Amino acid sequence: MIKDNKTYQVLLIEDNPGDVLLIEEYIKEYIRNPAIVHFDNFEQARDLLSEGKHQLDIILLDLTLPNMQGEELIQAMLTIAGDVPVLVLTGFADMAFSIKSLELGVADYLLKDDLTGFSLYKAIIHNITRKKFIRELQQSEKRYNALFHHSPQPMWVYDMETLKFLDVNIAAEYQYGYSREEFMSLTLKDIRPDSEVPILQNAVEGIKAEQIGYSSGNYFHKKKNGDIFPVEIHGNNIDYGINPCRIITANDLTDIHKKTEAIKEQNKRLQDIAWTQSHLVRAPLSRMMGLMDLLDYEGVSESEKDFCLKELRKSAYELDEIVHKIVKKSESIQFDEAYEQGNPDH
Amino acid sequence: MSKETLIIDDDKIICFLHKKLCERNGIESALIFTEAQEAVNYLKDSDTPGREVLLLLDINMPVMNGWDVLDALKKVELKSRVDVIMVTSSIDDADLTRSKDYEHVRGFVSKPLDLEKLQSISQRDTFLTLL
Repeated sequence: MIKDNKTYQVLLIEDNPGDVLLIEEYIKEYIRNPAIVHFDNFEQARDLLSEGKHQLDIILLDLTLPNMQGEELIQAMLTIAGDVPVLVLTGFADMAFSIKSLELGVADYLLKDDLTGFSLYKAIIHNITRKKFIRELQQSEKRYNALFHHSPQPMWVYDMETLKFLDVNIAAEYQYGYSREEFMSLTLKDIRPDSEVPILQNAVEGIKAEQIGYSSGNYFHKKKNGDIFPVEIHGNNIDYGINPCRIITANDLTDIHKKTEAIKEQNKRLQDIAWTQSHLVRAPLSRMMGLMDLLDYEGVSESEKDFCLKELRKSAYELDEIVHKIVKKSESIQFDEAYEQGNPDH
Repeated sequence: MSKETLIIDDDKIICFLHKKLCERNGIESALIFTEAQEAVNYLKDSDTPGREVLLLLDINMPVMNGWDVLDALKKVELKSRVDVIMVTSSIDDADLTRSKDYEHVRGFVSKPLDLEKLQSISQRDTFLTLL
């Protein structure tokens, strides 16, 4: 017979020595090297489990122990068993109680009278695997929940019929200033300035009418304290409630707008300089060129020559002064370095 | 009947140079205006049918600039025929384009004027651009 080679760690709690022997035999029928820990009372089992150092795969529990029995025992066991599945073993063919014990949270219910090596092995493997799947499913759900709730970007889910918030994440609470509880009593209209409410309604109607999936757009939103800020919205359909729902991420654009304003201001100053160059610089320059032309003409009188030279000198100094001013102005253009300073995440 | 020539520029040296150039080009009696408003007043006051005037007009002037002069001319609808040459230190494309919107303007010439440019001005009938 082929035996299972894995080392299963089994805790057996059973006070009847005959049953202990029988069960250990059954286990060994299909598992080559089981690590069986046996106690004949609940208290020792409790001591082992409460240490938290065990690596048990499964607990086999007899329902009639010296100091504790039945429902009370199940409750006590489940509170200390943690993730380890609990298999209940008993001699009573009591269907009503077996169903109740499953509702309480035991993994399975086996009758000692019906037990065979194979049925016990099957129950052990089935319940260990099942517990493992459940654990993985819970972890996965937890992980995806965390992706939403701990996302650094404000996110929420809303009902397209009522516009009510159905879920919001921590970043949204922080960004908008409403607590989760407050959000749950609000609709999308409450985070829009009054003037933007028709825009919101049009957008939602448009999405419904044209059955749009992904969409994005730039809007203005309102915080709890009344502050209005620019925001970039990305949305998509999601199965959540009874009505069609959408999941939204909201990017605060305040910083980007500030940056854009700073760039605009800088551009304006650069344009100023370009204008100055073409107009202010060319004024004395064109005068100088004209004066030099005049000096070249035939028949220019001595007094005219003196005049030209004097004016040439004046214009040259004027030009020099203008160039100095332009240099000064250029030096004053320094991009706001606050924007360049690092955020450790970037 | 000979053409009258008006030099409108707030820069006195430029006015002096342009007048000298006009003289060399056979225009003996070019009038100088360093205040644009005075030139507009003069044109209005001495307006007569059949009279021909050439305006050498600067753009960047304090108080009333070249564009203001053109707007004023458009408004008063003179009986005289006024041809305007924008003479400017500006070499902006925007200014060149804008000057073409005015029917009086026949040319856009960058400073400084020289004999060659002045001769082209008096000969050409189409819009003249000398940068």
